[in-house]
Amino acid sequence: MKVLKGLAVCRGIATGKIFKFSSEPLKEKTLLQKLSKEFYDLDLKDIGRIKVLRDNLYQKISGNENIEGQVKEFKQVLKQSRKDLVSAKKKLSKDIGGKFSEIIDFQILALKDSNIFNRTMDLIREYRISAYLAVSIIFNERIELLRKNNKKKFRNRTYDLVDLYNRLVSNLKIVDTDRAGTGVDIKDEDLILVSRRMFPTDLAKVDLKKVRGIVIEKQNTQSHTSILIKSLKIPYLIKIKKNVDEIAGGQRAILDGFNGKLIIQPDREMDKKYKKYSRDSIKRIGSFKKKNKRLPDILASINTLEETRQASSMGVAGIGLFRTELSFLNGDTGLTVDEQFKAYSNILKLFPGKPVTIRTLDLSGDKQAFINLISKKTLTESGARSLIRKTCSAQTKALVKASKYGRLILAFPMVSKAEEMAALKEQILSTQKSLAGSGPGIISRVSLCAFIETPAGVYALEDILSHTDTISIGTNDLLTLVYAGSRQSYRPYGSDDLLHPITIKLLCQIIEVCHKKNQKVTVCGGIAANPKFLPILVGMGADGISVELKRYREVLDHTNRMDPVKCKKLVLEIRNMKTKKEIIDVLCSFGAGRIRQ
Amino acid sequence: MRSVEIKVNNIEGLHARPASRLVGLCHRFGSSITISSREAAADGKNITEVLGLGAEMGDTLTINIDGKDEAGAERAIKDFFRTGAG
Repeated sequence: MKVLKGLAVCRGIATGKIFKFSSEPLKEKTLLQKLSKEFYDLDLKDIGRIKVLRDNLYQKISGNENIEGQVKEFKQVLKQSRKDLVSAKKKLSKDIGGKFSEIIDFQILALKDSNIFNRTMDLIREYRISAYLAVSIIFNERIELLRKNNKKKFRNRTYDLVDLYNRLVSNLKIVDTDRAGTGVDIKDEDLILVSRRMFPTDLAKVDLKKVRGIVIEKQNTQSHTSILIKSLKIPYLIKIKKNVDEIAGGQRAILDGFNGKLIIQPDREMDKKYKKYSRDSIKRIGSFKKKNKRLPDILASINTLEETRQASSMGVAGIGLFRTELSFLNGDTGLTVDEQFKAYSNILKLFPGKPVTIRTLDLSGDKQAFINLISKKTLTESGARSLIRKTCSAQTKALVKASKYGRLILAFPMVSKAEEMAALKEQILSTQKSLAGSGPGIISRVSLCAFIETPAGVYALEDILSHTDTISIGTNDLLTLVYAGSRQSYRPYGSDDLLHPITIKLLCQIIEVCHKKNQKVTVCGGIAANPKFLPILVGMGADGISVELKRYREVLDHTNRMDPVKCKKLVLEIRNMKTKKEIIDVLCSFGAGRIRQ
Repeated sequence: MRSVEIKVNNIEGLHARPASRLVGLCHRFGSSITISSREAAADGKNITEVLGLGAEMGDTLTINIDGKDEAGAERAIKDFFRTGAG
């Protein structure tokens, strides 16, 4: 048994056979670096004068026919590469999702780049060099340009260019750069993919349905490959302290994405430990409410239909927030009642008996921009207003109609006044009445929920509660407005404000007012998944905590270990404190923030 | 020739995906489109150059559009940034 440590990027446990994705010496390490050292520093004009070079690949080509042959070959390679990339994009779109497959667009567009296309042909003709050498020179220049960028996220895109370069060189058939998987019978169902380095399009060469976990030796968290892998929501480890070339394929292994370990050929004891772990986590999910009635329900915050399917297969306790904005943008649903009805009823059918909170369009940002985007037209102000009205009305109708398929909680964003909520309730009732004529069983009881996301909403809460069945707190917007932050910022409110007494008092006040009126409260937003804040939310008596799907199991496990009585005492102790420091001291002694045991 | 000044309002800046979308948009027009940020300039139809600008949220871009369909291109680019740059 061997245990290799690395950096866990995606959490979870996976078991399976090691599937080695071949990690041959990469061309950027060999040819490109060699080129830089040997003659890229020279003026390009000098290349034509170099007669004998170390490698015969660099030799000048004689005869016009041969030169045009190289140009022709280069053009064919571009055509073939574009075809390959389009099919890679199609495969990734099917396996991972359309949004993520757009990552390949960068490479498809780079093939249209005149600096690559025209200049390579110019180089071949002017200096009478091979297509391979010309492509290498041009890519080296482009890659160096990006590498010089002082921002990491832009520097990371060099990997995409190296990926494209490898593809072109491979298609030139001068060097065999075909990368493929080895080590196991392809029929094996559960695989742990291990590679030294992977490029985005390499993922299209793998049957991702069989891959349960991924380990890549040389990779960073922000690369496009990592972004694609993270979207798969399977355990993912990088930077392992071992040369993966020394790991043989076909061996049984356990990938522990909680503690950053790859265990190769685990012994019986280790096997037992991890089997127990996975059994326990399934058991914990199943018997969660029975054991800890006073702990909040952990719900999932979802943006797309694809995520709802993942949430359903994970067995989540319900949906705490389905934001409908993105489903319009990514084409999950159209604008008409029928299209929306189909989408929402499909979501509800996935969670029989479980609460599903679907929030109507949140247009608190730039309404016109959003509507232009979904209508794919530039509308006038009045045109946009009219379309917003139509879309919102169609959405309400579709949601009411779909409510018979499950436990729908219809939520409204940014509710700030009681009159606003009363008008929305009235609208729902009239929609129900108008639909009642459409036939028996067309409508069912719809629970109404207001999202408290503004300070005005907090002040008007008692009156708002007269028109709602349940309340959700949108903590991101609420804290941004309370602390006068910017919605556009990475950190809309300062990290200093998270544990400030004002935040604690504000949330305590909202939850208490709701509980007095016997209404349940779900907390959404970034702080819901914050390990430091979780015991506070449990202690405050939040009825639900809605977190992003990727944090679901982690938050569920963490919450399950909490004692609601101790958490309540903790909140009683900190709610009257005056400074953040006092709160942090108490939290440290409480042990908040430790997720991994 | 038209010249517009636009602020990048995408939280991630003009990184690979928004840059790809912008370049894809520029390709739809026959006009020549140049995007300048600070001291660097890029051909709007060239993905590696646009990405090389390293434009981040809050940066001001000067976009020069020259050609028969410059009015349509200007409108489309303005819309692109107004709607969050992809």
